[in-house]
Amino acid sequence: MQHQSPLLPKPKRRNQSQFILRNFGFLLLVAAVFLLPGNASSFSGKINTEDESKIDTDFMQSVEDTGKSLVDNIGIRDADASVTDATELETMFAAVEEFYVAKGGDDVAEAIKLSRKSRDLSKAIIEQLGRQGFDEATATATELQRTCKACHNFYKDV
Amino acid sequence: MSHHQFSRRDFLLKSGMGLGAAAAAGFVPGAGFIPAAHADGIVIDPANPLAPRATHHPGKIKSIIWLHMNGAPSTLDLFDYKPELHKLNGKPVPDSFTKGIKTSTQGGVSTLFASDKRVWKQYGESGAWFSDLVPNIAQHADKITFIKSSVTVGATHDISILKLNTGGVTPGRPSLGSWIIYALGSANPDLPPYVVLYNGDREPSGGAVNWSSGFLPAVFQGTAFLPGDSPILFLDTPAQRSAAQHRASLDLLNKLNSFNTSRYPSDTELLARRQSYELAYRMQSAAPEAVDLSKETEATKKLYGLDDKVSETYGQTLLKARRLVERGVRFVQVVSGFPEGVDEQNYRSWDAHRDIEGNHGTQAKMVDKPIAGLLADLKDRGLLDSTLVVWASEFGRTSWGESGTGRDHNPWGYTQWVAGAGFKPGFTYGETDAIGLQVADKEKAVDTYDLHATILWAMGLDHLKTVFLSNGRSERPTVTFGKVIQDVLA
Repeated sequence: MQHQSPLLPKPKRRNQSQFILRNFGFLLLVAAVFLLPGNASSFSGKINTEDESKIDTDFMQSVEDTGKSLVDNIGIRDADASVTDATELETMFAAVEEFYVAKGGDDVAEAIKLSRKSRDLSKAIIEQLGRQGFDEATATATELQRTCKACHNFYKDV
Repeated sequence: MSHHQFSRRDFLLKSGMGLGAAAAAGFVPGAGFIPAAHADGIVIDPANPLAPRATHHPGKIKSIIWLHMNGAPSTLDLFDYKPELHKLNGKPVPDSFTKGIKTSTQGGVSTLFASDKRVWKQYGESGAWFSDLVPNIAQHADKITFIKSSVTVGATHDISILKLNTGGVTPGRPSLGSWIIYALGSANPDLPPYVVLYNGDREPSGGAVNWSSGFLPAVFQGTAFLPGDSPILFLDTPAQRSAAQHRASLDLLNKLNSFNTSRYPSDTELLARRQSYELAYRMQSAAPEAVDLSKETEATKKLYGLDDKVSETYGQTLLKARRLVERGVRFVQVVSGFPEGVDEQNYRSWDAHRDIEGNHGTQAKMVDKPIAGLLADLKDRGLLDSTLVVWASEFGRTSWGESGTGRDHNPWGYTQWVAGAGFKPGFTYGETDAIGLQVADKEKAVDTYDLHATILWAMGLDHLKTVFLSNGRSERPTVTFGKVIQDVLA
């Protein structure tokens, strides 16, 4: 069941990356120019797996914020913004998976498994939203959030 | 359009804030603006936001008695028997047990601790283990559904208590009780649908944010009843004013208001305000009667432990809780305090960082007989078929000792339980590892969100569909998490 004051216009849930680009696009561009020589590939590009700093606290915070944005957007039935979030998450989880594969070691198996699962769940959400399956997408997004939480039970620091 | 409406709504129209939708709205004192209908077609009457509402699916629970064990008991000393812990008593914690957890709690990791005074026995057909600290609750083993894989976040009381009650770790989210009242309304128009009770001489830790309605309209918040015969502040009519005088002044007010009601029939604000005066009047007699224990038999009082100084005040709160659910109160949140006359600070909650024997000896004795009495009484009255009793705490306590005789906070694995409608009786879900430190199987971990989702389901509510739009965010009781644990449902 949903309630909102009808006196207020229904605000369109902002997509986080759109919001950042709209408001801080110029600053980001300037920053990118300065950072390019040092390999400033974003998470939407190919991750340099040898540079572990790419998957850092800020990156994971972006994942968390995008996940919350996804749940909100599904909740208010905004399919376009939800698909944008889910697509972004799929890319992010691919980067996380790539990071752990490259990192190797005895304790990365669970992280690889959970990041793969998260990627699959993101894909499933996109597919569900494609046929307006908001209830299914809500359940899948909740499973995705739980998977994030399960992973962080094991991996508190990158 | 009435003058009264014009001043407010015309302003909003000219401000471009959506008059079309405003036409369907009403303002309710304490409720703010509530739309006349929501997206799924379930109607909330703006003039009576507490009117009963339909469930999403047939539910088995009508009322909940939520027993918050304040301070976090060591369920390792009550329900979660770990022979291995007794064997390893006094030894360092093997590394394999601490893998994946951050032990930043104040005491650090000490050696494993198990009291040699503890006696464990199995009870009932279910064979559930109980320690000698809770011999009376043990008699109800076959009514209880244990969740021995409870987990949470945080290691400080106020934060984890907030999470236990609201799902959030910062203030501002509605408590579980508020969500339930929002979704289902009230079953008794003469009483608050959501009541908070506590024993002891002070308001519980963390305070009112734990029964707040958060971003939901304030009408759905919990009402804290004071210990004693006068449960609500300023509810009593002043002594120098007779009941007849009081009724006459209300009648006059009602008559004057009725003039405007007939002139502005669509003004739901006025209608709701008139109704709130009448609700307050009805509560003046209904609330004190609901918590008046004088009509209870001596046998019932004894059942709840009122004949023992240690269990008396907690027993009184549970007897009041039973009387409230009997009268249709949907959610009774009972926060454990301490027995009257207990001066030792360490015994005033379950928070046993030292002297767990003394602490748990007092706290367990305070709750054991009353809770057992409540379960027996609810069963005898047929209320256990529609009421759920929940034993909950903000976290558990560590397998290692602190200060030599106590235990530290443990959010990684502890026991909570439920008994009553909608859940499998005499059943245990999940387990902790061999020393009772962490959940053994992470797939079976039950976080507070999951407990909330499962309880809501048994009430007939889907947590994913119990949604409120707040500032454009789609909010729900389980934040962005929550999973219904189907295995525990009957």
